[in-house]
Amino acid sequence: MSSSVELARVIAGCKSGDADCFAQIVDMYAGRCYGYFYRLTGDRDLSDELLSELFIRLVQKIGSYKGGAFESWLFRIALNIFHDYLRGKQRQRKLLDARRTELELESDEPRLSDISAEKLDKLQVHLNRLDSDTRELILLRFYSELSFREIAEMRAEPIGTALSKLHRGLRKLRELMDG
Amino acid sequence: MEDHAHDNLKDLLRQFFNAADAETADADIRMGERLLGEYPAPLPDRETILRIKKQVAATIWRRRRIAQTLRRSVAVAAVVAFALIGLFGRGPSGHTDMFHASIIPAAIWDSDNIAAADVDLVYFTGEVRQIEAQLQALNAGDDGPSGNTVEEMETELIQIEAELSKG
Repeated sequence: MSSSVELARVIAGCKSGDADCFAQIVDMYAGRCYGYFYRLTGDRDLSDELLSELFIRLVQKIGSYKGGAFESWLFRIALNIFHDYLRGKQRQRKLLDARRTELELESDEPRLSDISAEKLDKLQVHLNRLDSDTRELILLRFYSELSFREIAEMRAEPIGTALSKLHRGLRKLRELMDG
Repeated sequence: MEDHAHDNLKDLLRQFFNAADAETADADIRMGERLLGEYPAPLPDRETILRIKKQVAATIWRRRRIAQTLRRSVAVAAVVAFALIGLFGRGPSGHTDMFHASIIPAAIWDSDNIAAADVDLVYFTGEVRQIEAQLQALNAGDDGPSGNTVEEMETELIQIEAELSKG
């Protein structure tokens, strides 16, 4: 049985609410999606949370999957989850800043990002030096294994723009790694 | 993870760059992606995968129970409506017609005190409102302090059915 036929069978099972089929989807995609979240955040615990959120949302949204590239649909949800997380983090930061100003407290603790950076691998450190949009594009391309057309469509930008950004981003990443 | 089966990258690049630039871009992209492959991201722990599968199964179960309860509520509401029509929907001549096809009899509409006019109606309305509130709580992911809201709702529905069968 070809992998696409097998995937279609598993998705049909998911649509009928079969927990075993959802478990198969978790087995098939957890590695790639976790890698995607990890490279976006550089944080294992956070990647665990985002991965968990992804599959819960998959259960809630599987009824709206109307065919087409499943990976494209799945990674669109993953990207939305990551953006939701960023928005939440921004809100938290604003609240925290407001509170700090209010209490006139200046913490001497090092920032979390500084602590994490020590533990990150070289690639993660240099990925974090790229602008967030380019980093997202590079990681989406690498982990989703989607075609450029699908990626450009998902990001709602012309394919030439996506190609050019990816090219510049990967070249810069290589220069950073070599330097 | 570099096998993007749907792409012929070089052809695609030639649509946007001249031949020489397309060659360079193709090489840059391939080398960059190979670099990503050389530094694989960690994999999720086995415990994480098992926990996610459990969460997924629990979510499926909860959604299924909500759907079942909703279906049952609708069925009970329909039974309540028909029973009330049967009990109160008859005109003075003893036969019903479309004019009387209301679940609330005209006498109760005119009444200033519904509780006094029809205790059953008050009882059923209260039950339906309680079930509505519980369904909303379940939809919001709140399984109640006891953690068995679904079971409680089912018990209430069974009680309503029993009351109806008594007449």
